[in-house]
Amino acid sequence: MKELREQDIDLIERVLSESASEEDLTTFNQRLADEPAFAARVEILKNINANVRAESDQFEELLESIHQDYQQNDMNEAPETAMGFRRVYYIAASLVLLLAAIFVFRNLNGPSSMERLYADNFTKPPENITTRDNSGYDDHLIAAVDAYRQNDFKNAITNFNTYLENHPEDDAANFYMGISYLADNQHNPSIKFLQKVINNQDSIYRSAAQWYLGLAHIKSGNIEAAKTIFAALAGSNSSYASKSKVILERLREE
Amino acid sequence: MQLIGKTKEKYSNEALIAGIKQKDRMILEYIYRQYFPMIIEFVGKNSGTKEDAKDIFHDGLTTIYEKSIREDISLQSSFKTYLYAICKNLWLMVLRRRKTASKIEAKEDFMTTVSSNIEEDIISQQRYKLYRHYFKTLGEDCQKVLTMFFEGISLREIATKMDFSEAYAKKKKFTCQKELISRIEKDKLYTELLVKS
Repeated sequence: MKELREQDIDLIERVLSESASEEDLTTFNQRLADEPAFAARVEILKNINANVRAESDQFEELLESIHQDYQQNDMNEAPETAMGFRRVYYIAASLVLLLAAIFVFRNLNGPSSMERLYADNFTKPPENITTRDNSGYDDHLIAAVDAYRQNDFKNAITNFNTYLENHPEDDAANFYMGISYLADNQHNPSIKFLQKVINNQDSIYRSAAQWYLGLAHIKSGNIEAAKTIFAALAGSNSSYASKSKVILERLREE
Repeated sequence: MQLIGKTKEKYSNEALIAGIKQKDRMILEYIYRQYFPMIIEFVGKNSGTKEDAKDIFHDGLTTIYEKSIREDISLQSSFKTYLYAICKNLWLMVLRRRKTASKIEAKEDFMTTVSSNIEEDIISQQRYKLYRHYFKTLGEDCQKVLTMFFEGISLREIATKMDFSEAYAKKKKFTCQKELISRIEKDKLYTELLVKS
């Protein structure tokens, strides 16, 4: 693929902003027809403008927040149907609960309650990470975030590891490394990386790291450590406070 | 908000689409309650996890959101059918990428009256998602310069705000655009989307 030149971008921008001369337009249309790579770059530059703005990000953040609520509590109901079916739903829900209780009772050899508690509460946080080294770019970080985005946690771990060799104090990378290990069912290294994030009092990932550290402790069977973490979070004013209270109650019931 | 009386859906297609476009939390929560279980079931039956279902569901809704911003959406099917078709196509793309798309169990009756533009809309959504993803991987200065540029701020003003010379601001803008495009072009998914479009 041809290297992108400054004059290519200037030409595309003149056309897109409708300030192109006749000569510009002729060149532009000719290249559009002859060079697929040029056409693809026009498409990127045309659409990137609107799409790097916050609108879609805000929409996705809203969905993420609704998802958290959905997972946690009352939204996790059966879908609503026509009016009048509500009562049927409640009866059905009661039966489902009864059957679920029987199922749990009869399946003591199935996944433990702690495993279920972990599975009910672990959701991979969306990647929200930027490169902050002086050069602005780091290939290993990009590869790690990309692998993480695609749920390829082993590859994410390998690349975060290489990146962290040169940037050991990057709390975002330490956080996502901890999550990648947890998602890959390696709770011990996960605990190490999440603890490192928590040790940084100023980290914006601190509350999230506490939440996932609590989950990592559940996964490792260290319930007392998990209780301590969730009790601290439940008493904080972080966005994890309410769900920490719920999980803490579940832990205390065990 | 347009409600429907004794029909199966509480809201009309138009009300649901308008709610998505306006980022109406109440409507989105309704959509979540109503349709997410269907997507969990579909993805679960086709080699996916709950987490996959969530990603697909979010991408599906974002596809509709972005389309609603670009143009008026007029559905020839129910909203449920439309959303299901988008999510099914998205999941097929993922399975192809994971090379496991040998057999997909879908409710084919859902697929009968859905717009043929769905694939096009999905490709746009996936591309825009890539753009946003790689934009966020740029350095902070690059993100600032490009954001200001996209907002229509002149290079002279950008230079003042960033404490650059105007010539350096222009150079920086180009370097950032070039880097962003290069990162996008290196992504396999981008090549795949390019072939499809």
